Amino acid sequence: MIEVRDLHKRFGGLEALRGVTMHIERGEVVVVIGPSGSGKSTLLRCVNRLETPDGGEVIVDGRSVNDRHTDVNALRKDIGVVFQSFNLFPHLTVLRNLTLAPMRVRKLDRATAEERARKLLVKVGIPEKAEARPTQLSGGQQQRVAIARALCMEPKIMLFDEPTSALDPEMIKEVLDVMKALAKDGMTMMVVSHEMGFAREVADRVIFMDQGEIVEQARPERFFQHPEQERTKRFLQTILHH
Amino acid sequence: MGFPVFDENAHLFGQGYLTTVVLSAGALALSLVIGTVVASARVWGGPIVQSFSRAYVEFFRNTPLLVQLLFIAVLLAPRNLNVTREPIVAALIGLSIYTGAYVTEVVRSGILSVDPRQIEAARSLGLSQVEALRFVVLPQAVRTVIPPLGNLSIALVKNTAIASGIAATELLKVAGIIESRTGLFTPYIAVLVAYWTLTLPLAWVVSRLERRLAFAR
Amino acid sequence: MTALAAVRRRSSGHGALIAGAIVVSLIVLGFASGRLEARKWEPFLLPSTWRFLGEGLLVTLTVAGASLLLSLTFGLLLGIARSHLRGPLGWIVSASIELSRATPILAILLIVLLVLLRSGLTQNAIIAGIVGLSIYNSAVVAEIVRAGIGSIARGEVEAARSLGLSYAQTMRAVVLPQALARMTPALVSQVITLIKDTSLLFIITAPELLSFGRSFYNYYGNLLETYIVIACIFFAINYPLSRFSRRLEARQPTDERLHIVGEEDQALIPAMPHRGTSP
Repeated sequence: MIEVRDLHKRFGGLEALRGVTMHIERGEVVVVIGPSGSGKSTLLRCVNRLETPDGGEVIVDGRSVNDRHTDVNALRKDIGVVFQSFNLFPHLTVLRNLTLAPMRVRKLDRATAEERARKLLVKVGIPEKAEARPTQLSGGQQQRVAIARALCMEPKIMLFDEPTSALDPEMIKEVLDVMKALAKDGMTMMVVSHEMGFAREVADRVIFMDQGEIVEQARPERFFQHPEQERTKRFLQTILHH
Repeated sequence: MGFPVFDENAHLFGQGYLTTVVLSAGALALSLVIGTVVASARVWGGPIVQSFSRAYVEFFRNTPLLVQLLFIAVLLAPRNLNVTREPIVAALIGLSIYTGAYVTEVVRSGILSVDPRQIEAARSLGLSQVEALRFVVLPQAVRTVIPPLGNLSIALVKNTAIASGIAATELLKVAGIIESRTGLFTPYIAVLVAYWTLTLPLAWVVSRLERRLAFAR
Repeated sequence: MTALAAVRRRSSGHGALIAGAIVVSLIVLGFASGRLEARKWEPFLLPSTWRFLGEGLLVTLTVAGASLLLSLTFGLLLGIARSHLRGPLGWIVSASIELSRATPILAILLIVLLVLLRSGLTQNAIIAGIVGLSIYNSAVVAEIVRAGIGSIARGEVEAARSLGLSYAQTMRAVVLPQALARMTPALVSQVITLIKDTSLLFIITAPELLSFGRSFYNYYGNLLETYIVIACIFFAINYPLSRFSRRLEARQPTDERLHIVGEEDQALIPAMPHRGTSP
């Protein structure tokens, strides 16, 4: 489903990605972890061309992301993104946030789009907030709306860029629960996150990145019980023992 | 003999009032166009385009409108004359360019007030750059831009009076004409009231808008 | 985030490029219209020209300075009065401030001149100019002062009063020092407007910079060139001021910015820069 080959990206003097190769199968849930600055968010952003890599290739669903002939808007229809900072549109109601892209990009009529949107709001557990403004919602509610907004386009892949990092602790669970349900439904998911519990419970595979490289990847039980690399061990120690 | 004179003066006064209104509205429309174009150039243009648009803003807002109007009046003048025969056209152009410099700054800060991650989110949903600007950035920018634009319109109405300096027959010039004809002071009282009928309602609307948008944040 | 940062970075510190762009534009404009001639610039090489125009500039600056002093004094008093006077007197103060600000300053100048002439008080157009500029700008300063005082939290006043400070002491020790800091960017913006407005004294026939310019171009026949030079003189004074006011604004927390309706230079004080937090 997602195929990344020898990806390079630099920001000025900083080498954010140096030769990353990985793949994600259809229906697979992959959690990417690593210290800040390890390049994990950059990798995720390259998958739907929010960043343009300096070298290497990204292929999503058989389409080369950075090929000049690839219609990036058509590609993005099939890739849902959930951001750390929610990025809901503050001038629109929750319902309009959900229907904007389906109506403009998928050309759905209003009734169909709204019906789909309301179903998704039920799914993420806040059907009563359809007419509210994003600023009237809690962080956890906003992030659930953001997930519903991405799902409204019926994407084949969902990307999560640290979806719980901006949330207060008591709201993290409600967002993770929605993500778990999504995984159970068989969605292909790439999740950049620090939520080890989620990784252990839901992920099919965990990828550990450091300094722009993939250091290690494995099934979660193996990854957390028997990490092979020294760097992985050190990272797991700092993150699990405090 | 008083009545025909009064009629004629009243007519003249009405025309002056109309000229002021048309001059304000026309210059506002033109300055909005200028400002939007130059602000876009300033935000999205290359370095050369950016320095020219910045130069435009800085030069016109830091020099007196009267000097600009006098300059344009000469530029538009026929070869053998030093002053244009169409002072109202010169005034319209001058007011538009002057106000356009301010509109540029207002529109620019409106665009910059929108979180760039909003564009990212919209693009991620498959909206094109143009759609993202139209449905996500612009509606948000408009909110921050409306009160200062209202502010500029009030200033613009007041600035039309300076067009009398290049003999455009707007309200203030007309008042002067009537005053010199009749020796009466009343035209100036009337002219004050006439300006107030334009500026006071505008000021009321702007302060209401400011309060409403302040609460909406 | 990165795009925005790039925009911010690129737009700062291009003073030389901006100046270059202005000069290039003016020259192109002038020659394209076929009205600028190199020979007509020659008088500007003479020291006597600058002595002459300098005299006019001195008048302009004196008028601006005097009007500023008067406006600050009366504006402060009126602003405090408006903030606290209730009843008919307060109503009269408010109404006169609002009406003055709703009037074109040129209309005020003409009326003041006419009143002074007809009452026989003075025939001096410069005095009429200073009075007119001061009337208008006092009203604007009063509005700035009122907004400044109004922006101070009521709790602070109550705290000061409950500590036993008198009303006057509270104003002097607690309210005004803070209000003054918040007012400064708006006041500097108004100084720019004031300096530009001194050119209107030309219309009421006071001998300021533009009038000196007219005598000058009447002699040399270089109308456009003189206007450009005069515009540049104003620019040289106002541009540093506007940079200064922008720096003051940037230092000021958003919720402490004051908004004064109806002045173009005030409209540029940004209400709310982009609210996102970028890492």
